[in-house]
Amino acid sequence: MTNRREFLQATALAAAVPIIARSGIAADAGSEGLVVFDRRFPPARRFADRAGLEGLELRGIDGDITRLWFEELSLRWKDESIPVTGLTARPALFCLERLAWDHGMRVVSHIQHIGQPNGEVVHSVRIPVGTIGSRELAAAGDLWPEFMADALTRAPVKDRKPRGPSEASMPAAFDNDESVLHSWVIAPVLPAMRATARASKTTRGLSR
Amino acid sequence: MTLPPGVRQTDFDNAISRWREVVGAEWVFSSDEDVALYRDAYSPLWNEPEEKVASAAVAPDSAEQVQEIVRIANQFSIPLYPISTGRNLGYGGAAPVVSGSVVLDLKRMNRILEVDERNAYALVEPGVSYFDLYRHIQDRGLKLWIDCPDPGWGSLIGNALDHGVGYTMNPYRDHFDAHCGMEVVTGAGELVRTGMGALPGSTTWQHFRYGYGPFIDGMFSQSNFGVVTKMGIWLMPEPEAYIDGTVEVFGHDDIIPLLDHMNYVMNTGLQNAGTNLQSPLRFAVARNPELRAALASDDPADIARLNAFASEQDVPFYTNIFKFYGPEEVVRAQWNYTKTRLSSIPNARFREGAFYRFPITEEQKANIRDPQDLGIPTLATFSIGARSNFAPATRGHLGFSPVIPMTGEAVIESQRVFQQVLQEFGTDVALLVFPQSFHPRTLVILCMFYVMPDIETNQAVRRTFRRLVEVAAQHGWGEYRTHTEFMDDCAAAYSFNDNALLRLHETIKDAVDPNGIIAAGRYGIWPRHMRDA
Repeated sequence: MTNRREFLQATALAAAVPIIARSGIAADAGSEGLVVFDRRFPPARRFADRAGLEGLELRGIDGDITRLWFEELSLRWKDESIPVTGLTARPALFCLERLAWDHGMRVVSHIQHIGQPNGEVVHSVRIPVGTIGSRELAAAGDLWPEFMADALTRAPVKDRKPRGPSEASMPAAFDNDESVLHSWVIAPVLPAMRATARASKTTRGLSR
Repeated sequence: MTLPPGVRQTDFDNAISRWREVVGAEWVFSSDEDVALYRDAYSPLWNEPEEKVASAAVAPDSAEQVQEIVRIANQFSIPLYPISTGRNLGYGGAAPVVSGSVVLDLKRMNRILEVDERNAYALVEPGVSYFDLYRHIQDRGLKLWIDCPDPGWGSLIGNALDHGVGYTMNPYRDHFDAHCGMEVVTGAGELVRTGMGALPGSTTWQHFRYGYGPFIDGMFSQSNFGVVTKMGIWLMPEPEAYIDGTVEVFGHDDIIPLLDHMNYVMNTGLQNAGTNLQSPLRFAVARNPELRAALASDDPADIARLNAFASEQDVPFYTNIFKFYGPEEVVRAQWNYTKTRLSSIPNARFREGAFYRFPITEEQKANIRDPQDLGIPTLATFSIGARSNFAPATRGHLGFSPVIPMTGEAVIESQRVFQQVLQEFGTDVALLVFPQSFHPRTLVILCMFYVMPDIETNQAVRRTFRRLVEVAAQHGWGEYRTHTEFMDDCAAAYSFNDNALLRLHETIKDAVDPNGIIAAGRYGIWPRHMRDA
């Protein structure tokens, strides 16, 4: 019997088709920032392929975000609150969300994609993007990764409302993190907790 | 918004207004959205009315601002709950012990004030994370290592004050043991420097920890007497080489000579690092109810069945990874001697592990099994599980972790005792009980529980946890550290002479924090006005 993870990994690569027309989001909303995808999962790779068509910078991970964080995001976020969009397992979102809080950023969109024993994927919109709901995602069928890429990377980025933590930062509801994939956007919100992280300063002798 | 107990809204509002004047309005957080960030994602009270939540947060940028904030809190009798980075997941995170407390968020105080390569130390503020100090050292090419716990995003000061541990050499892996000198704002708002820091113009604050007179640094760890605003940390000079190797033993009672040998090599300095003791057999029988039950038995027939399983399945009852840091010829000799010594255990097997000469390449770095063993911070624990075959770390969890003597007899007895409690309560554990060496001469039992979104599961975990604390105390074992929810339970176990130690703690609390402003209830120490409640 195919398990949920195997189903997710076995999903076929979809053709690049103009899905966004169905998404309810203006195609000229503007794209910026990085796209993070978990290379272990075919839907995440398809998500990245699609987002790459928008010219976004792609960053693959294998579950762990340490290198992405240490070598890139921690440095770039000190200068600018660059939005990050992703399709990953929960641990990556859990970590990135918490790290983003210190930079005045929040999870502003969050959709769970829950693999079912029968091979289907149920979509659960936790923080909506545009007018997209579970019905629109279900209508996308097997092309949901491409649909999500279009929807998230074209979502408006300005004037987002203040937000608290996302569900991904709360106790996990699922037995196996990897049976559930998460698509999400981390972006600045206004007004927000100010960025507390900045370059650590070495002030030899100061305040001694 | 939950007001602090006994505080009027007008006083709270006045304090918020005064704090805004001190740190700037943008660094006082009182909106529901911002305050929610300080919830404890691993709270065993999640979404229950008793879950501990903050009322607001204030984020200073300097020790002087901390002093002002504390003075204002004293004026309006508002409890503060200091956090450094707030990522102490499993031990309460950023959430206070008392609901309504105002979080004193020290993340902005993230200056690395000094790193000295020749004497191998750093002086840092509370907001400096392991990643921050590691980057600082790497960017400058200093031949120094940090010692970090599993997740590298926490604060050096916060982890040391909570008696956190890491994975490299002694004494660096015991983070409080590796500290040297503090600056503290007391509950009364006074700025104090400990050790040689009390000497104006001292040139040895981070070199000599005792200073002159009573050594009081320990007062500020696992306590609520003040806010530590600076701390010295000893760093490890980069060794020339590293080697590790594993010993496997197959008998139930082999743990006795194994630990005797481990004690010898550790206490003579032959093995200069922590251990990684595991029980593959316990993992192997986790899904076999009959054999799993045998783990809680002292019946010789049950022990014989476990031994037979280990032998037939070729699954070691216990393994230990020995780690050595130093010149290549020395670490190879240390490992060889260790093997010779342990060969006296019947059927003991040895496996060679990793070997590195330093500096290592970026490619080597990327492929290290446990980067923390080489002082490299990581967040991999969240995606691969915390050095175990069990719970992914993003599942909320908390650990029951009593200290036992480092003897095989204590391991056998404690595992039997705790296994019986777990069976009695039928509580699902994320991680079976097995001992870890965090400190010389002792082992810490790790029994990890899941924290879930569902209340019934969490209630069962709390009942089991409290029972384990009681049973441990009956056997002379106490916790080394715990989640905020169980701090009173664990403190109550340290009850010698009618709770004389707790009463001494309370005497100190009343003296240095007379209005009980700082972290009420932390580690079971309550201010006078909350003591009876």
